[in-house]
Amino acid sequence: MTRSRGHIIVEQWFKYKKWKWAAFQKEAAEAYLSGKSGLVNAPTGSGKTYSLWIPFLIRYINSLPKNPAKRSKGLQILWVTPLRALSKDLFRNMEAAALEMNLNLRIGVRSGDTSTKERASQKKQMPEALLITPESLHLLFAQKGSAETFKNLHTIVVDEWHELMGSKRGTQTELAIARLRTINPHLQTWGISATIGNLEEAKQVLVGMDSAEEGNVIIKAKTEKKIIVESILPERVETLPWAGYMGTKLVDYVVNIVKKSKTTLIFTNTRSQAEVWYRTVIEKYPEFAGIMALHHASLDREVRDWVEEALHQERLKLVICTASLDLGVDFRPVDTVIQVGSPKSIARFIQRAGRSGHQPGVASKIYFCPTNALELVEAVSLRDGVANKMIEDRPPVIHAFDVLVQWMITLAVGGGFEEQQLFEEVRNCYGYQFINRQEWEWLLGYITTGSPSLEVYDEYKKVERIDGKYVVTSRRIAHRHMLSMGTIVSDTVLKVKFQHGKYIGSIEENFATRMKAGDTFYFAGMSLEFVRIHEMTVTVKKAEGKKGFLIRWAGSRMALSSQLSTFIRDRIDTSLENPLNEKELTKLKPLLDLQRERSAVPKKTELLIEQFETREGHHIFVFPFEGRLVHEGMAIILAYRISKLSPITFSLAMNDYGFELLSDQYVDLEKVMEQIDLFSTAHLVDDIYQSVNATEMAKRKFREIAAIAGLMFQGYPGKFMKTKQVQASSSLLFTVMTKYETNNLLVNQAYQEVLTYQLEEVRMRTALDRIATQKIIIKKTRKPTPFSFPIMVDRLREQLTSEKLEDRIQKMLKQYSNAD
Amino acid sequence: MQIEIRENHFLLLSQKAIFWQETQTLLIGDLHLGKITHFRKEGIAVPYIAADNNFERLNEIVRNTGATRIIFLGDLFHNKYNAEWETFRAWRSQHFYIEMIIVIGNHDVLPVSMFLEADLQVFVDDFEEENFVFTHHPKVEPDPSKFVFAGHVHPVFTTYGKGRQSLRLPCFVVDQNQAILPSFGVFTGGFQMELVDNRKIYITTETKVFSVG
Repeated sequence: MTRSRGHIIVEQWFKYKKWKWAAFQKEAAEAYLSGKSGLVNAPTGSGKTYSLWIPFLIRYINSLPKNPAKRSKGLQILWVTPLRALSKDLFRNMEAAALEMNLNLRIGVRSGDTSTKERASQKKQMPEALLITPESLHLLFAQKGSAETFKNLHTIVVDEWHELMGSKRGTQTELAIARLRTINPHLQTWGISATIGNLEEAKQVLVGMDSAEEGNVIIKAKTEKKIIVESILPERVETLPWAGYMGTKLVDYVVNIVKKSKTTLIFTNTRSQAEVWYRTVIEKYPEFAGIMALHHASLDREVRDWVEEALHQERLKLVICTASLDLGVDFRPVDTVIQVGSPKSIARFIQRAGRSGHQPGVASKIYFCPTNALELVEAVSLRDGVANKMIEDRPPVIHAFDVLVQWMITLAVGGGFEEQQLFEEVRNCYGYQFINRQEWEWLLGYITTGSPSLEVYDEYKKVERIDGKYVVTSRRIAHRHMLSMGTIVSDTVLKVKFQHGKYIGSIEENFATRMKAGDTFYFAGMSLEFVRIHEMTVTVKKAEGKKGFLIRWAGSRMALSSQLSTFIRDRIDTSLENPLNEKELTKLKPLLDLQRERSAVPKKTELLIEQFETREGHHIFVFPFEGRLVHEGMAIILAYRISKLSPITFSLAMNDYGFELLSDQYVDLEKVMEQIDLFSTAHLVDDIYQSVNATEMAKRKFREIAAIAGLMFQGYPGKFMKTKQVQASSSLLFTVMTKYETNNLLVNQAYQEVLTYQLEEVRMRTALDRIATQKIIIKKTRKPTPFSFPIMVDRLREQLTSEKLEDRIQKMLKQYSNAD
Repeated sequence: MQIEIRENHFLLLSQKAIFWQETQTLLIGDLHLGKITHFRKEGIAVPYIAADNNFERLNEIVRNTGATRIIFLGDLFHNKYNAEWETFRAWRSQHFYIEMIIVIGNHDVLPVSMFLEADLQVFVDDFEEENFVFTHHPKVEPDPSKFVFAGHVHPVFTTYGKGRQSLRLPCFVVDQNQAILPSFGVFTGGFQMELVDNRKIYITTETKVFSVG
């Protein structure tokens, strides 16, 4: 490395800090300073921030002219983070380094929390470095003169890229980077990512399609952290329920571990689960009051900040949290992590394990607390997965037309765009590499005439074409667009506050509207009495000791990854022969025995199907052990294929182990399988399309798409606005658009998202191929089995029918009159 | 499906309207004309062709019933004036021989003069005839000596069947002293109704009306 002035200052600083460059940091610095782009693969707490921040400072120092007055001003580096919360800590670290090197460098933060005053001052003079969220970055493009803002920008760093990439916020980031690259073709793009299965692809998404191979690199930190996985096992397997996901039965075991540790994080999979755990612990162990806290995404930012600060200062013994603490800064005092319920992915499990044991050389230890009996199998599989380092991929989002529509309007608000140039730019994004001219023109039509054609003109008004540029001239349209930009969530949330004014967090509207004055509910670890709801705010007061409702937040359930499901199939296969291999399976033996007694425990070469009848109707259970997403797809395919033989209606349920087809008619499966190949991959795509069409799946997906594409204006989150006149539910929009317009790209996108992300067509095909080699065993059972019971009690159901609507009504109404 | 109320006969139509046979009158609730164009003007791209469907169904029931009078139970036109009003006026003049009455709903913010110009009789609150009251908002405690026809709520009902099946469909709600019509417009949502004592619910598909409970 040449010894520039920057190098000398940095080396002095390292000496002063008594630090050494880690190998990967050195490597990153060299690559960065030679003008390359790339990806730094390093875990939290390894000094990943400095691996790019320090080389930036070197470059900054070397670029300083002798005469300080001649210093060029303006933004040089953008640092994108997925969470506002992260920017605080990043800011601290970055500023510390700059100050200690005596640099007169301004670092700014820009997020939804940034004050109006700060925004105004940034507008006047941008700091040299800006920490920003993807949404706020897009908002900068909605300002006039954004090209001017970014003209000196030479570097963009995307932190926690693995987290962003798999979401539409990742797509937002891609689009913004593409535009920045147009403004400055020499822009250097860097990402920082934890380990994922598809690092190479992650880099490609970041640097764009036409980046030269030699111009970018992946730099890996060599940090071999040992991870110890330990299951929490009850004395007897009967302690664990057959179904369920709360897991509080094992609270005593868990608290025992907490007591022996310094500071513990308990990760739950949902917010409701976190609330339940908090309440259970405090009720059984009141001594935890004051040293235990709750942390999840619906709690007010201030509450969460307080918890994080208290964690740093070792004032808390236990924090119960959700994915809200997956990312970000290290809490050094944490020495124990407990995962309640299956994390469903090995990568997520490893990441959470990494939240403990930060001292060098100390192993990370994670306890797994099963919430139902069958999760004991997952416990073993998680350990297998960690030992074999089976890290899942994070597939990037492809062809998100909703995000693109939003982006086009954003640019039209911020001074306009030329379509040909933008088209080329967008095509250079990984996520839009296959977009064609026809689709592009549909999108242009959509934003200008509100229809697939550019010619039709009525009173529709959004983007106009003036002198070859696409612009928004209406201030009202512009204003509304800016307000709806940040809201990728499509549920209306209401703020919750005490009568004296302190904010606690937010809950969803559909829960709030079901409450009446005097009702009690649990939230933020407290029992709260509902006082009133007014202008998007729910006012509450404390209600000591009363029983209350549990809030349920909308949100999809996570599905088992394909890596993990492979391990599970292996374990089930060998479970009965070698039950003593793993202590979890030893515990599980009585349950597996019962499964075998009532039905069968399938070998790897077998596919188990159970059939039985209850008052509810005729149940068919199929157990491919492929994860709930694949099961959802298989369930609708099977239901569709059976329903083609004769008119029948199914309601479908599934979990990670299998799925159920429930009907009011008996299906003779042996006979059906003589007639058709139920599990065939022939006509798969066509059958999926037909069956998705017969369900409400695409309609539900459309919710998010409609919100992002600006079809549903809900006002600013937390602020009350008179928008009723332009409010329509997404399902109504979907119905009208499907019925009266062919080939609407946003409707198509809903179908595509169902296929790609929900049903995982590719995985389903692999699974069906595997099933083709398996022997099918059909068992008629008289009672529900340990395998089928958890699916049977699931209330979330999809319907698929080939009966005529009128016939179905007739049948249902007959049952009503029979009941009378 | 025909039902009898206070010795009068009413046909519940699957097009989501009621035909009062004794007076040859069509009752239509919550048409929300103009809503699609209103959305489009605000930059929300609802397909404009959908608006035509309302008129197709209007023509169909006028033809099938041979009605001589139509009572619109409010929310005829959604919000401010736009081009769809002209389509409605054209439709109105084609059907000049039909007497038309509107009781004003909460979304009918057009000046009363515009309804009058379109040759509609306007009632700001209720329109009463014999023992029947026609209004937009359902009455909380209807006067038992009269019978009310109302709209506003866009009622829908969910039926359940064996095998955990369920279906959600628009419905007519008929109580002791009041009936609520489903919304007629294509671009309208729905509010879930419950079956309570002394209530009949009639769900409707696009082709047939069914009686529930």
